[in-house]
Amino acid sequence: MKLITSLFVLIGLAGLFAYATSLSPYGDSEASGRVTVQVHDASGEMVIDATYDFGEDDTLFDVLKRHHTIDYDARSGAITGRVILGIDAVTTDFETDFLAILITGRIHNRHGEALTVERQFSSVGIDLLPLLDGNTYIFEHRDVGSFKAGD
Amino acid sequence: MRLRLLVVTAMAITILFVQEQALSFIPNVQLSAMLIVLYTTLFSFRRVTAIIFVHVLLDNIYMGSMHPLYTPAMFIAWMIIPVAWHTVLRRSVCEKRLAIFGIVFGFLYGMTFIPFRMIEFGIPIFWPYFLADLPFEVIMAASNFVTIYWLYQPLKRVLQREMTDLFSQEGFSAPTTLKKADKTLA
Repeated sequence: MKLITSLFVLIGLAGLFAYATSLSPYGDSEASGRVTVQVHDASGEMVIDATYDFGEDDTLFDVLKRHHTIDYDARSGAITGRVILGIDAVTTDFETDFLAILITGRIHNRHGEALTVERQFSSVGIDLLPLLDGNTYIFEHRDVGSFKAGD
Repeated sequence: MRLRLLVVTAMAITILFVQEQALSFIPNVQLSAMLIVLYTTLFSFRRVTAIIFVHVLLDNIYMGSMHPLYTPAMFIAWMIIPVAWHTVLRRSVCEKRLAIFGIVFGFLYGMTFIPFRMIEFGIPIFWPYFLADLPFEVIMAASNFVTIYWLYQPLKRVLQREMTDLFSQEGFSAPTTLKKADKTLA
């Protein structure tokens, strides 16, 4: 009886998980387009401001890797995505500082429902972030524990 | 007696911390909710508050994630368990009721962080954050349900038996040994 109850509850939650995943605002990338990448160093100065083309199956990780020297950590694995630690001269250790990823443009779920965002903090890692034409992806060097109210 | 109770508390915190670190490679799958439910039903509210406070502090120090917004948020989120048990759950020890509460808590835990996220990143983050976090809340809800439903009663029995042995020399008896000890020493 206990086993059957557990199975029913888990099947119900698995269904809810599938539906919740489809609602996630980090859906699939568009087939092609152009995105802008901006990188800010520890002093807040913008050290990279470039626009790149992307193609089918590209992730933000692929685009950055093609044009820059990047350092990353795959600790978080497939669920939350790789963690970006450094882009060219802007480096972090993820213990005392990190690169915050902010999105300006659009984000959309798998049903195609889009939201317009302005400096939206990404909740997923660099290779799970969908690429949408016209978006700007901002990487900001930040100290762990620091926060910017009303960012 | 005080020393024994202090050692038991320290062991409870250690078990909570170590299992969380050991399972940290699977997001939101852990025994923490089940253990805090277990401690809540065995210890006094004051002691559970102390356990949660030390656990949150240790976790944030060890993970390097001490944050003026998220550390208090985490403490508030875990405190939902003892507060709910003493109020809406009416101190129930029914594993089914506690397991269903575990599902609800999975969602409440994630949602507790939303206001703090909004303070940090602005009000517009509400909807994207809520939707992005939902799958992780479902994972935590499932993990809480399974662990509480299957492990709560056996662990409670073992812990009570051990505690009875430990405190019997001092004149305390099962099944409310720890609560009695807590109250006597308060």
